[in-house]
Amino acid sequence: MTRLSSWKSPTLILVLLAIAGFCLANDRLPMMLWAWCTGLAGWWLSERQGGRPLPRWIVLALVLTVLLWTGYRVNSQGLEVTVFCEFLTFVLLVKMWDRKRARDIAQLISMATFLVIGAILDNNSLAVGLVVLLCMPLSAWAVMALQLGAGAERSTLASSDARIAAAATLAHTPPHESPLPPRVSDSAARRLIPATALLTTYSFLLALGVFLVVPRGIAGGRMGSWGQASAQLRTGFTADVELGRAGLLSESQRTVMEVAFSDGANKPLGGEGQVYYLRGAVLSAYRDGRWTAGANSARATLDAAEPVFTDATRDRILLQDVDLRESYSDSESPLFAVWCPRFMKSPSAGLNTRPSAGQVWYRSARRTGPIRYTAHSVDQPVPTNVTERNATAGFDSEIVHTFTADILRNAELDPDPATRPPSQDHAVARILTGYLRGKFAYTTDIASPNPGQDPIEWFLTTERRGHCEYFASALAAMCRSVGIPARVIAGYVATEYDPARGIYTVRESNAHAWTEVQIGIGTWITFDATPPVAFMEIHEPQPSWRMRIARLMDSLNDTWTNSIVMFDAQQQRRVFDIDRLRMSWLEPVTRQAAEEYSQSRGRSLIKYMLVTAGALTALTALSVVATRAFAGLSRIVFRRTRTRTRSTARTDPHLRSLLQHAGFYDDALDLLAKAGIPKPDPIPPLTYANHLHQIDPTAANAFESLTLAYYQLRFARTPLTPAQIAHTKTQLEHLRAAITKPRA
Amino acid sequence: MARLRPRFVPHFPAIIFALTALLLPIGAINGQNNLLFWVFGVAVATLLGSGIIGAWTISNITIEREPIEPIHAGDLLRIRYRITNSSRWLPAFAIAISELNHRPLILGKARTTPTWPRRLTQPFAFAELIPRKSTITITAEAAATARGLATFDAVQVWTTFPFGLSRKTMLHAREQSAIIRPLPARIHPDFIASLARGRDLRAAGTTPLAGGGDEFHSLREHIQGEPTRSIAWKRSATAEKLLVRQNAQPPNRRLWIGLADLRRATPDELNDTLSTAAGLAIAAANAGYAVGFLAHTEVGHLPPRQSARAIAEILDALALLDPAQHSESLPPPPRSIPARIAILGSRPSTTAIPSAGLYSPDQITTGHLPSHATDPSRSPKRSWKRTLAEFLSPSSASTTPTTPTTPTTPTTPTGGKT
Repeated sequence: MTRLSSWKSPTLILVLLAIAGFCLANDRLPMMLWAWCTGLAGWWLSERQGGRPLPRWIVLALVLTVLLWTGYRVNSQGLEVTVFCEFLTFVLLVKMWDRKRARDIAQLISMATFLVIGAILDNNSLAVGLVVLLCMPLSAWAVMALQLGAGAERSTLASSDARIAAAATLAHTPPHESPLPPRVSDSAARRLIPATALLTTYSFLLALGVFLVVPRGIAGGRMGSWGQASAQLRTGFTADVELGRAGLLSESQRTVMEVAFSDGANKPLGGEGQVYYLRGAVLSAYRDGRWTAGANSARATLDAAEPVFTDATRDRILLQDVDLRESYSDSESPLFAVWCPRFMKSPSAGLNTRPSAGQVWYRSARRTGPIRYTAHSVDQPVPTNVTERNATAGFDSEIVHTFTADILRNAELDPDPATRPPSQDHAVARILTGYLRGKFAYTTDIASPNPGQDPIEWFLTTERRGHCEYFASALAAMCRSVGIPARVIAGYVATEYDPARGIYTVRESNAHAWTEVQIGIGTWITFDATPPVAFMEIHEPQPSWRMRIARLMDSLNDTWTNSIVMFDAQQQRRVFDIDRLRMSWLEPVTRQAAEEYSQSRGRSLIKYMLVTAGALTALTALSVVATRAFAGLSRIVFRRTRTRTRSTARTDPHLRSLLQHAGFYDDALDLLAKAGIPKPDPIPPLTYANHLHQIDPTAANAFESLTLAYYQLRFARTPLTPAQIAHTKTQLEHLRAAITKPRA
Repeated sequence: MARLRPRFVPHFPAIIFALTALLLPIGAINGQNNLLFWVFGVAVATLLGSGIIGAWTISNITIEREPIEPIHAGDLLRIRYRITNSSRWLPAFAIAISELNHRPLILGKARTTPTWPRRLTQPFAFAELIPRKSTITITAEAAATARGLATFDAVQVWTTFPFGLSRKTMLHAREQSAIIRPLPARIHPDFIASLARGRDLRAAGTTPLAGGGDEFHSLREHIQGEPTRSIAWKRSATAEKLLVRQNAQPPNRRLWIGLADLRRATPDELNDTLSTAAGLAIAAANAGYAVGFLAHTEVGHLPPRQSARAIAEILDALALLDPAQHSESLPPPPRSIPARIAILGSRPSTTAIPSAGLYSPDQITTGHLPSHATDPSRSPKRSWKRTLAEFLSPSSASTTPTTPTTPTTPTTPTGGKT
């Protein structure tokens, strides 16, 4: 294999990293390992000493095969990013077995870059983000090394062509030997690394500026799903449930709230294995794969009067002292409570409720922030004597209905609500829940259905695996399809009990969705169709070192998601907080611009783009200034390091004190370096002074005098007399004058 | 010396990159994909960096072309460039250098069209790294394919560093020329030996000079320190002082090389003739001849001299010779310089022979050098096969004279190849 300093090596690393990015984005670790082994083997066989690349006709045949296979995939699955990325991956692998001239290396770099972009379109996870960040310096290094390699190759070919032409002129047989492979000198390859670091820093700063400045929330989705990461991390509670989007549920361990449960007599409740479902959003309307609150959720002010519980209900009372740390949004947050909430009390004002669904929201003109409240809930037992059911809208899907009817017929239940007695509704819901728990698999990573296909139908008939939202939605849809009212609930489950404090800690990973089914009139019973094993794994993990690592990774993932992936207009405003920046003079200007923009929406896009372009220009200028400042700082640091290195090498304090007066020698070396005639490190100063004689005798004499003075300090260990010090100053001036005078 | 601002020449990778960079923000805005926004930022940085750093690098580069030594056609021309990076901050990477092959109008209307493309392959040099505030020297190699004067006008210095997105080019006006001499045919030693078989070319009445020859010249006084072996004892005894034998200078062998009228010669014939003349000049000089050159053209006479410089002048004259400027007949050589004359031509032509009386017939070696007088291993390309065929053919020897003769007419117009 080529050495790491070879100009092709950065490309190899870049290609491997790009393949890793794609495989990580699509959770294809076996494919990554296979691709790495194949690619490395191809690279080694074609690049090692005496190695041979694959013959061109085989390479072309393989590329053609990959092309045909991709055409078939596109025909069967449609033009998806994943298919395109697979095509790039296979072509990259083939090219790694191919010859590697500068043109081929350029192709490899281009395809690797496109593959990284494809990975971004697939997934915005932390792993992909890390790959993107790593690819920045690598691609810069690879491209710059390519410039050197391509030039060296062209130079070699030009010389070879010249020799052939000369031989042809002399009527000789042209030389048969192929030109030597171009090599980039080690010094140039070494110097590329600081250049790469500098350019990466510059690119990073500018990219950060663009990332922060480019407006968010404009024209999103105007062109369909193009550009959307098909798999995004979704974190915590959401007020709506949107199915059909591929996604990866977060396992973030950030604490959302802490809850203490007690009964009507204020006796603490809870313990290991005791699970409470804390409802947040009640979603009863379904349309195009999206569950929303529905029309009957008009908000009304909750009666502030505390309810009076009768003895009949007192033993079913559940009191919850909730310390909600994370609000759903800046302006409002659901107040989570166990079904069925009857009363909520908080020192803060502004409680709103949706009485029909028992859903309570806290709204505030300012940011909500943490909130403490107490909720009173009353447990609803399953009614035993049900004689009627509420008329409700069914679920408009023949597929779901047929699917559910088959299950019920197998269980010897009548799927037709007209003929089935309402007393069997609870049994129907139980059977459907059991069916979903037993026959379907749980996963946090799910693909998306084909365009136009209903996500619930796709989940029931095709995919048969999904996360809690799919299970809850499927159960609600199946119940509705056979005439039983049902709704989806989004909220949290409290599972992590701290016996020392007697409270439950609820984390973002405890976000959950389940189903409430109406049995009889007005009695809603909770059903959770999520498989219990998966439920326990997710919400009640066993503490272990794996768990700790997983939590660490998850917190990193969480930080990544919140700061990068979910960076939106709101966060953008927060970053450019005028008050915090103490730029009060800028506030009216920016406010006016923001108002104009918000009023005109897309109409002032050009104006906004101009502003953005201006900001980018300013950022560029800033980055140039920063780069120069960085270079200057590096120079100072380097000089200090050099002095320190020389001093620390001498452990003799006397010598160190003597050398403190040897600044003239450093100045002389700096002057020579500035004049473009630096003294090479391995050459002794007096030898170099002799060499200087050929360039400028005056400078050489001055440098020689300074060197002798330095030698006196360094080796004779004799301090300089005042006269000698004055002489060194004079010689330094002579040296400066000699090397700064214009040369003929 | 003119130097221009850097010119940006976008090329295919840049177009692809720009298109991709355009798609990125569209996709990012449509999908609100933050990583795409980030990549878009990187793309903008790349574009800006490519322009700024490339222009900064190239504008700090100055270049000088070192003097070019004359070479022969078929040789490799090595052009050395001294490149200086005057930047205090940045080293220069991946600097490519090539010669402009057309008239650089951008440098002004007074520029001329360079002639090197007709005589050289494209020279290309590449500097991987020029440290800041330093100068390096790099070499470009080009094959000299035809004789003549190769003129250079502007040097193109360009780079695609750092990202290969645009090519930043700077033109440096550096007028220079290189003489490409004809490819010298290798002359058979027998032919050179045959030149000496004429009569003694020393003119009657001229006084030989003292020198290191074999023949006696005079006696002179012994100088202290000279070996006693050289003392002429008898004469010393007579003269009562130490006398030493002084030998005469060896005969000065001179050769004029003249060219017949080449106005109607084909390019191949012209090249062959000039190649033979060059080879003859070199071979004769190596054999101790003082070689002179008789030309129809304005070059005039180059009198026979025995020095490397004289040979160089003859070769330069052959390199620059323009047959269109030939006069009707060869000018006569100065009579005061006796020499053998070799007149070379592409085909038999009586007009090439000077009028009677100017040359004595036994002085002239004329017509065409016999084909086997040249060594095919270093002959021009187009004549190689024919020369080999003639060399192998038994009839060829009989049709070509091997000794200096008066003008003869070969059997075929093209029979006598040089």
